[in-house]
Amino acid sequence: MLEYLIRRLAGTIPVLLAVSVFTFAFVHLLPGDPARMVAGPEASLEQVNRVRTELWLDRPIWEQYIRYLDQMAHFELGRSIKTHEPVSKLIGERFMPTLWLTVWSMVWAVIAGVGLGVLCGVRRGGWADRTAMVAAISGISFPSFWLGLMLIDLFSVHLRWLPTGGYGTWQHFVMPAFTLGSGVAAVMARFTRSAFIEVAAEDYVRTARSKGVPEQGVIWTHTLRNALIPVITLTGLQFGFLLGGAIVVETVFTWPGLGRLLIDSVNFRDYPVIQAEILLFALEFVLINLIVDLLYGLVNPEIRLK
Amino acid sequence: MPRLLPRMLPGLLTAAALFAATPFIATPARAAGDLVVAVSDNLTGLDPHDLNDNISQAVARLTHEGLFKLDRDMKLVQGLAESYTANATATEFVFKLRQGVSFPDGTPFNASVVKFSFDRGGNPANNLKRQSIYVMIDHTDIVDDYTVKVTLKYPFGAFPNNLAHPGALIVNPTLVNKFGKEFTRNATGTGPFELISWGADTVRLKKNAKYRVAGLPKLDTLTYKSVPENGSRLAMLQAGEAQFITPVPPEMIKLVEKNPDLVVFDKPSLLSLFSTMNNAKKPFSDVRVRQAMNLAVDKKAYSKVIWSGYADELDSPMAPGLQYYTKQKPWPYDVAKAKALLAEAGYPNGFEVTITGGTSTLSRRSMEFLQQQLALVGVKVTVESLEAGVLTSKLYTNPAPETATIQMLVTGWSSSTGDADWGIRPFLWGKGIPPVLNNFAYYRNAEVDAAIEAGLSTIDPAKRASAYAIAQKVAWEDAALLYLGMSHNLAAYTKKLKGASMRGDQQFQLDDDASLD
Amino acid sequence: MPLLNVRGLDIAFPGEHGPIEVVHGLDLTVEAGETVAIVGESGSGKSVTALAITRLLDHAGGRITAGSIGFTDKSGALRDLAQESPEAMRHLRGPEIAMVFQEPMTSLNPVLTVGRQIAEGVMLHQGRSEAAALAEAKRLLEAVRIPDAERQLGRYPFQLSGGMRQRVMIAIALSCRPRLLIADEPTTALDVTVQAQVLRLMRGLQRELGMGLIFITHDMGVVAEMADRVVVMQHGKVVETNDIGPLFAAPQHPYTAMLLDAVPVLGALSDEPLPAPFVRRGEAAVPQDTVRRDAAPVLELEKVTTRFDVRRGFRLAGRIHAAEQVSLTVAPGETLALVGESGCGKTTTGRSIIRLEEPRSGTIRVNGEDVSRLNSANEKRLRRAVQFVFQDPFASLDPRLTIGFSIAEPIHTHKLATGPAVRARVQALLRQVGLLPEHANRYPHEMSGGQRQRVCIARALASEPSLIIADEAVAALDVSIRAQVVNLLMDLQARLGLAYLFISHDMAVVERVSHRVAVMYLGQIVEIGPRQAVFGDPQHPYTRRLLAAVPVPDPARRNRHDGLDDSEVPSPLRRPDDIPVVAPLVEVGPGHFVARHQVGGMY
Repeated sequence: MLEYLIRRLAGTIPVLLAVSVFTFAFVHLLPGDPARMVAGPEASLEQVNRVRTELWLDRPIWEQYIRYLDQMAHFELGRSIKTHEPVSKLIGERFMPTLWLTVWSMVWAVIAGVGLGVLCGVRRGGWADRTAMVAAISGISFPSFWLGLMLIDLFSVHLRWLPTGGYGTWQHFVMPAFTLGSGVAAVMARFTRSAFIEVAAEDYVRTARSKGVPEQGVIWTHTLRNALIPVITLTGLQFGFLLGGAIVVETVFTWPGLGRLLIDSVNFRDYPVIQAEILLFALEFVLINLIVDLLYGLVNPEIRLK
Repeated sequence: MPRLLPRMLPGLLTAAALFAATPFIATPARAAGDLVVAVSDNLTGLDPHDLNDNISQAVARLTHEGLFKLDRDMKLVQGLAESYTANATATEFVFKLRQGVSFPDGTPFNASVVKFSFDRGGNPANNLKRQSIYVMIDHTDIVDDYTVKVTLKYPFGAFPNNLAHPGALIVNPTLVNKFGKEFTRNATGTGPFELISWGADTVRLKKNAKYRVAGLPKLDTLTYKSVPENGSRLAMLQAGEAQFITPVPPEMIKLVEKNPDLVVFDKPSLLSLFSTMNNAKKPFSDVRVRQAMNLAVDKKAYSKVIWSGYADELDSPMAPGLQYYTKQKPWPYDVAKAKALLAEAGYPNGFEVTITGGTSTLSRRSMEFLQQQLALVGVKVTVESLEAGVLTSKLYTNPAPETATIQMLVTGWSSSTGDADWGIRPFLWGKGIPPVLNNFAYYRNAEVDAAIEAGLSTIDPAKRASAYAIAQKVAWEDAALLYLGMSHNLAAYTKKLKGASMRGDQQFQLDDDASLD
Repeated sequence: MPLLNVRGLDIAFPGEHGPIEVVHGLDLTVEAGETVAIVGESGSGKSVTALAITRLLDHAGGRITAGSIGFTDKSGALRDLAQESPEAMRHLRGPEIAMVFQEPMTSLNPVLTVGRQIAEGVMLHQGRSEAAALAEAKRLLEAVRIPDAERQLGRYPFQLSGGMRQRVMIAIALSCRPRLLIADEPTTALDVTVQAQVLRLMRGLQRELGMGLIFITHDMGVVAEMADRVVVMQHGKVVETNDIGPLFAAPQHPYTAMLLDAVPVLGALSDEPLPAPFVRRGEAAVPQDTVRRDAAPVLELEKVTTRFDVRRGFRLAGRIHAAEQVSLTVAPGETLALVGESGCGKTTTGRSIIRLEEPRSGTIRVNGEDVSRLNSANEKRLRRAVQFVFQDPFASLDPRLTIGFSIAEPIHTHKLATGPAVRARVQALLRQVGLLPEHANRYPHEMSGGQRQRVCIARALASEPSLIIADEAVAALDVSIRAQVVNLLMDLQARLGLAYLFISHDMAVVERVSHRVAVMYLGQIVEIGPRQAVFGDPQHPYTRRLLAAVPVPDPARRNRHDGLDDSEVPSPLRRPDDIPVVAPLVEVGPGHFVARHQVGGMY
């Protein structure tokens, strides 16, 4: 297991290197002059040129890349062009809020999605199933932007139960996590439902019934455990979706996370921040996939033991 | 169902563990003297010499003071300087400083602090964004502890106004030396407030106990929050989490007006809105064409359509709030005359032109508005909406008038010094074509250039006034730009808040005696 | 009082236009200790009947619309299972009535250990603790003769072979000592030697426990091995019920007679060196001599080796030695049967010839031309000369193309005809395989399994091949259809002089069709020779085991298997450095060769 883990982690290095080349090229090929953006509209030409030299922007792109790699090798992410803060600090401050937001969104999405999915799978065709699936489709189609503002209007402005936004107590998490997770919950519900229905038709479920296993046992032990296997894969994929969706939700709920940082840094052509963030996203993705694989093995003995 | 609980136990335990692991932060309840201001963008820092965005500058002005400052009406008033004298050619300025002022950390304020501050801001090696404020300074001398003499390289009559700019705020040398590169997140000057904590989207300030005016400020703390989403910002105000928000999009003003506890702030800004026309190239090199364009646009409709009425007609290249503003005769809306002028200039069937702008809704709607208006006089407009980075590089990389690719640019200008010079020179001075300054119209008129330069070479208010009167009149009648309007500053706040406003330069303004009950 | 007494049972499934009745007026009795076989072809309603008795039908969407299912439970009370509540039925399933299903591969829960799955029923119905239930599970595993039972308890289904899994299924079914066991095609998916083991086990356990046993099967050979009485079903109705002896000796219903005629009986051609088509009862088989021995062989394989790497991450963990130095020849007009059990490499060998797999070494010659190295020219000739017919006729036809289009495709590809000639050729081919020209306009789903397999044969014939590789081409067909398709293949051979490489696990069919037989075991050919010699005088121990395991559709010859061994066939997966020994075969008779070296440790 440990060997597997190490091998998987080592396998991420070429992936990250490729991502770094790609993002570096992409970011630097974006039209737009960061030196001019940094210097501001009122700056003189000399000022702009000085900024350009300071940021190495007047060097050939390969030289800039080598410097970047050199920095990376020393775990040095450089400083933000816009605020001069160390990129590691900028990202460090915002990483945790985003991570916890995604985690709680996922917790909500899994609980609601799997719960609803199983309910619908068991009662398929019934009114509960139909209602839940209509809700699920709505969950997918509500833009999180709109949903977030509606929630704020209801719970913060009218009822005054929850804060409109910001990071802080658990109350601050409720609406952002709900908003961010809803779309995923809907996808999960639909997926769990179909996985459940598919597994429910498997021969071994019939075997369980032929043993006289009560329906509860048929559902939880025999059907759900198997239906969860594809759901776990989906969960991993949806994490990526959440990271993307976090950008909108963080904006609506004034969440001090990576999503807002990314928007700001792209608008400002803050190269070091963009690069570091994309690299971080890639790393996160790779790690989540690893975790999913490990979880997968936990539920699926065939993967674990082979 | 009793069997369900043990089955769900691992899940519940995981959730409980996650809950325990989540770093929740308890946020203290807001006290009566706490003011929360919600704005649209992140702060970039607090080092006054290194800021070029309104939001950060507004905060820097709460924690710092300059030798001069602008009041809520953009009038020049004393700050840390008690008085000043200047020579006739506006090249030598002597400032008398206030005595008995100190920074919150105890560092005394005196002439050496001013010299340190000016030298720091003007030193190219420091690479600070506000260096332009100091470019005219040749050297600064300490006359005595509370007297400073500044010698300029060339006449600059608007120098005191320059010193009222946030870029000329006086920094604390102790903090600069202590924090180095981190200064921008630790900067606190002699202003009414002192920094508690810095974060890109939340800056907390508290009352400066050592503020030079006893008993002020009345507020205990001030929190500046960046809330990018318009709806969320308004919700914060409605929910009582913020007491002042800006900007408020015109379409949301109605919602604020409906709430009896809230007040709408609506005053003209200093932002003049226009579209450039490349004066150096056909067809806009012909003054008749430029005049026709100004006649062809219905400015009242522009205000209504684009700004929901929260914009005024322009009657000078610069906004009325600026020093030395003179009113010109507004360009009427006259399609027939516009057509006649076009025909006279050799374009009886109009021409084709591309109009360029940013990606914001306002900018796109403005361009589409112009497209419809100009179609009526036969000018076929193609709209080109460019992302900020692309637009910047397009504006500055092909700077020569002949190679410039942008024919028309929807943009605007707002002076941050309150003076006429910075209100007109950046975009109408013949020597200010990009990348030097922002003359994207490639406008070059000897009379205007001479007037702009004359206005700078004296501090005599009468001479300066007449110089800028000429510049405004010529550039207006010459139809140097397609003048569109002047937008309003829109904000909203609770009735309980007194003494908070928006200045014409779109910066949050908090009077020293502002209060919240 | 019989254990089970079904009277006038009607079963229906909901359909688009109202309920569709699938079983009508079924009567069935089973006494304690008695084995009743329900026989019928697909769609006869035999499996649905089993589901109705256990009421698992409720979960499959069907409904009992009439009739009663009388059942005498342990307390001696007579109950009507058609009327019982679902909860009451749940308590009956397991301790009273148990089932074994056809598919051991999918009937066990993949994420639960074997021990847990057996113990579950014990805990549920006998209220024992988990430890006690696991101890009972171990005892049950021993009872179904699973070696090393203790260790097996903690293993997962995917770690067990098909035969082992079916034993686990039997252990689960027997865990609560049911009084009625329903086995629905329990050995159909198993290899013939494993089938023999499982059948013997079930017979023994039934005797031991005195259970009533309903044995559902389509295989008359298995029926003859197992049943006391036989119920023959067709189209949802019972057409004949009789004791086993009289039924085989003198079938009353023509359908029963037809079923019995269509069953290939191993040994029927023991006196005949040549293959012969199936005939009706009482008619004499007409052997056909089609081999042109003087001509050059159509196919020659020389030491063809195909292996598959098994990787764990980046590391080579082992290799599956699917085909190991396989050498054989097929003459024009000859049928060479390639026999063996699943995993022996017979299919890989066939696929290697047409390059569905890439062999690692060896020479392949088709019509004398070396096609071991493919280039564009010889590939075209190979693709035309050799055709493949797969087991599953449905999966190998594109559901969106008409039959005619599918058949015409190779004609276009090889430019054998153009314009209206293509149409004529397609029609001729359809007639040749016993279909009508009109069938050209149909889609695969509009045809039966047998018809579809005929279409596949027609498509194979379209390119005018000299060799057809038939990979279990008749295995999925019902008995009566199977006989027809076998006869078709033989007829085509007689008329067109085709050569066949006939890959099959069914020894009785092989006896019918083949001139020569090659027996594969662990990737190697262990015996090859004239069919009569190999079947009549098998030299290799594996060949003997294979032939002995074939069920014989003759009740008088049952109980032959009592000396059979229960050992499992070893895996063809070996460590990368562990190359199997291959030695030349030894000639023991004219054209009859056998391996004398050790193959895979057992033989």
